[in-house]
Amino acid sequence: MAPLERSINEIIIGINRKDTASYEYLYRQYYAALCSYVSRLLAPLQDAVEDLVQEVFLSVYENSHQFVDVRELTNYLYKACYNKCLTFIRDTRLHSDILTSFAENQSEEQDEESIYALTIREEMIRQLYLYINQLPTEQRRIMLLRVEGHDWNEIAEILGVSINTVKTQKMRSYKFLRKHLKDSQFSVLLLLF
Amino acid sequence: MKSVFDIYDDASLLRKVLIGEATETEKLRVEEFLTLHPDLRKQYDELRRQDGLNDSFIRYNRYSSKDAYSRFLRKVRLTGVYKYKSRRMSYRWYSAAAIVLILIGIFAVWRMTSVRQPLGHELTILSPGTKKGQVLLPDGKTLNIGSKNINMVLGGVRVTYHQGLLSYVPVQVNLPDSTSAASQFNTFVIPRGGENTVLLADGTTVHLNAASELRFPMRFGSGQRVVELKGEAYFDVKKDAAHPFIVKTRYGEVAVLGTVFNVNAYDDRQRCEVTLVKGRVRFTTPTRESVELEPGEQALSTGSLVQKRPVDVEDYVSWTRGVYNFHNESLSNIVSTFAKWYDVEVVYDSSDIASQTYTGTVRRYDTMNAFLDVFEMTGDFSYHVEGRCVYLSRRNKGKRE
Repeated sequence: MAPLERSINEIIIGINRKDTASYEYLYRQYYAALCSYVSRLLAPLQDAVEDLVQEVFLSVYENSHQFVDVRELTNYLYKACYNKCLTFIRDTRLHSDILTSFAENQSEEQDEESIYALTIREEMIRQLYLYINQLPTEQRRIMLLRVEGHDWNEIAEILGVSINTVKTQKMRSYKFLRKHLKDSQFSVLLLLF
Repeated sequence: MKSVFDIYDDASLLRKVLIGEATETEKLRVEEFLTLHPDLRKQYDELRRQDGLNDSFIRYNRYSSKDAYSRFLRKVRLTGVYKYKSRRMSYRWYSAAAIVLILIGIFAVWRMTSVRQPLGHELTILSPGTKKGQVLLPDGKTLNIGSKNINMVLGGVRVTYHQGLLSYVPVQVNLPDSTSAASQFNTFVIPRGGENTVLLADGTTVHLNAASELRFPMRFGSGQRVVELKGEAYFDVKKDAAHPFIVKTRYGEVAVLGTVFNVNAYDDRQRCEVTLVKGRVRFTTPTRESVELEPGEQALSTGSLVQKRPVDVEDYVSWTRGVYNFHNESLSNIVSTFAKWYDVEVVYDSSDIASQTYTGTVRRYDTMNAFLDVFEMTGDFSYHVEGRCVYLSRRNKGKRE
């Protein structure tokens, strides 16, 4: 089954029921992003990254918590990763080393701000990856240029094609994304773009 | 981390602006937002520089979600049976005939040692059932129920399938019985390896287990509400004293007013168990023998005889919540339940295995391997899988290392 053939809501129902097949989708959609996130938080301690993230997934499976929607699930996963990192740092007594790596001489509030920014950044990348990476090459390139802030004319120029080609590809991309997201409760949010 | 942060929603909004499809209002909101959080603006601008996003995507390739998922599966397969039921364990526990899965013990040993290797040979994974089924319509057409959403109107009834629920909701009320869908029966057929839930036109929900069939009118008429069941289903009947709800099976019928109960009437078990969770029901056999049940009681019928007994209701209805509880259940009964859910055939190499009894709890949505692995750990059996067939072979206990 292709990654997006199950809607996120179906996956969440499966996760709540401890249906291991649904966890495959959970891994596909979140694993790399959370690893990337944890690796940024842990900076010099890269060896522990995948183990910590794996523990978070197992805790979802072993926990009896029932997730309501993708929003709650996503927030939970990042927070669990963040907490795991804190515990890990404390346990390995590398607290001072780590702190210098992400927030030297900063007040606690600023520290929180930088972690918030880091978290949102990762989740943005994850969502974009999930959607843009699914697209055929040409459409994918257009979307990446779009993210870099180019308008449709510029994109056409960079790629050496007509503006109409770009617009057609753009429409196809949206159609593609809509098709894959149609069951999602949050599709409205996701589809406004 | 501040608890007020909503990672998913905040990121979704920024993502929309990044792709360039946000509305003007949303763009303004993001602008304000980024002014408020300068750190976030830095991150945001970084993504926008040339190849910024693509570099992040490449970073993702370092991590294999596939490998991580296999490691996860290996871990949870070892701990697939997770709970032991400790009630009434004193006498029977030691009885020589009953071999019991000492789940907590096994669990603890696994946890402490973690030395158990994945089984030497590559296993065929036997996946649990999924939402599927077919509705047979009166005109002979069929509707596939499972992967696609459905939304249609048939004979004054809106039929929808959305998020795992098939529902029948009358759109025109007060149609006379003869012209309405009251005489139009649908049959919901669940294959082996399936399950599904239907909301009937009166508001009753029926959760159907694998290899089961429910025949019901598209809307109910002015008399009794009658449905017919083969196999197993969990009913939550909408209260309506003026229109008694009747579940017919080949072993007899259940008459109810408004209540919750489970009916297990698989043909291969040659009997029917009606377990009452809430309310009051009367069970009547085709030979007019009848019993009335209180919550916590079960009617056991072979079709001609019926008896009543107190039971632990959980053991009979927990499947609807994703677990199977077995309490001194014979292997042949456990296996017949599993064969339907995992859509497999089970073959024993000696008949005395079938009558041995087990107690424990198994997760319904785990693979069958999770359950079979625990079996192997008891030392009673070993198993191997060929296609959709599971072979259980007796182990000589004395000769085990």
